[in-house]
Amino acid sequence: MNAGRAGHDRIRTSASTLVPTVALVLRGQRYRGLALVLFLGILGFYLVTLPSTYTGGAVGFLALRYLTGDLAACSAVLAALLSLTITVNVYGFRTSARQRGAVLSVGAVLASVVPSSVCCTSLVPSVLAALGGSTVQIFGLAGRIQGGIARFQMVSLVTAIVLLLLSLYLAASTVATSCTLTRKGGRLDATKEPAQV
Amino acid sequence: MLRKSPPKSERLRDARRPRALRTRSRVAFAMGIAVLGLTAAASPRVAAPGPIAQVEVGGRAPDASFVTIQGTVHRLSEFRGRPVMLWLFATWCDTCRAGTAALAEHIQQLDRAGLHAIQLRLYGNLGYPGPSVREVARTDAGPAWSSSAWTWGEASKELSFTYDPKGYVDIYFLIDRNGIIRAIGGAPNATMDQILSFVQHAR
Repeated sequence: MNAGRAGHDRIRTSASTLVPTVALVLRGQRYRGLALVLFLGILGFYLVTLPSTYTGGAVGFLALRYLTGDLAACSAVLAALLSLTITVNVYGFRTSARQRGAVLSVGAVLASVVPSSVCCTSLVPSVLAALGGSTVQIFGLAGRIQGGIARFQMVSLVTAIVLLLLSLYLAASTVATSCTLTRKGGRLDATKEPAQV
Repeated sequence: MLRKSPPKSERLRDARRPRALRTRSRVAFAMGIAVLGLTAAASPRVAAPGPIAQVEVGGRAPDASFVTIQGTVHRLSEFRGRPVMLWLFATWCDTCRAGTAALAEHIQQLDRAGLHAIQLRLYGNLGYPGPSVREVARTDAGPAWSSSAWTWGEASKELSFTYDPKGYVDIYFLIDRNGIIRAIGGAPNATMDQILSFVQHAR
């Protein structure tokens, strides 16, 4: 038994370790810089992409004119979660931890941008026409698909946020289990331990 | 106590299972696509009420009827002699509603240039429920909705299928005084330059 580790606590992986793990990762200056650059880039991407639901899919500065408070808030949350997830995964990669949550991250990004890209554009009707749909079929189906997407866009964004939270948690738990998080003098430290047999 | 190992046949079956699952998934996916395609191809094509004319830039705009929100029936040929923007949209479409607001901002300018805007809801609202045309007009166009240069209504099935056989939710046609289609576009809020350029050359 490690009785000699007086004053050190072994923090078990749980949802409550998410914040300490992310804090540990961001303690490094390089990782802080990486997270900041990613956040700004991804935020810019979402700010010009999410409002494209009002411009027929056209992204860019024109779409900014249609940026609402809801979309701006979702953009900020999505950018923060995605940048943190990538940063934690990079940290885990450098500590030889197995990456987890990549599929969730990709799914979250798709769930966040697909509605604004698909709704009210020619994509769905073109696909239906390519599949051999008649005018009547397209008229009935295209509207149902795009109308449903338009109606549930906010649901899709919230789903993307949940997926990213889960992805971040998986990445953080991987880092936490590959390293031992110990409390030393009120601070967290990560030490690599050989796998316990 | 030693655990008995499963019989060889079971071990082989377990080893083959992932590959078998992948193969079955591929076959199921291919069959689904094939069924979808065959169903679409075999479904009876509802004949449009009349031959579907070719609608393209440079071609003559086919004549068709529509009903205004006041309940009167009109034909597109009644508007020959002045430039027309025929806009087909769905009322649940956010882009269309943003485009309506953008058109409202420019309607006076377009009216001075002689353009008449005809904004019609697609047949069946393209299959998804949404607000009425009058509601969209009053909400998104504001006071400009009652401009004499702006006609609101419902497109007939003939007009919808003729001008928008592919079911695009937001499409407009810029038709000159002689009934020739000069441009086809969508999202007026994103393509207002094209509309303004059209009215400038149509004078």
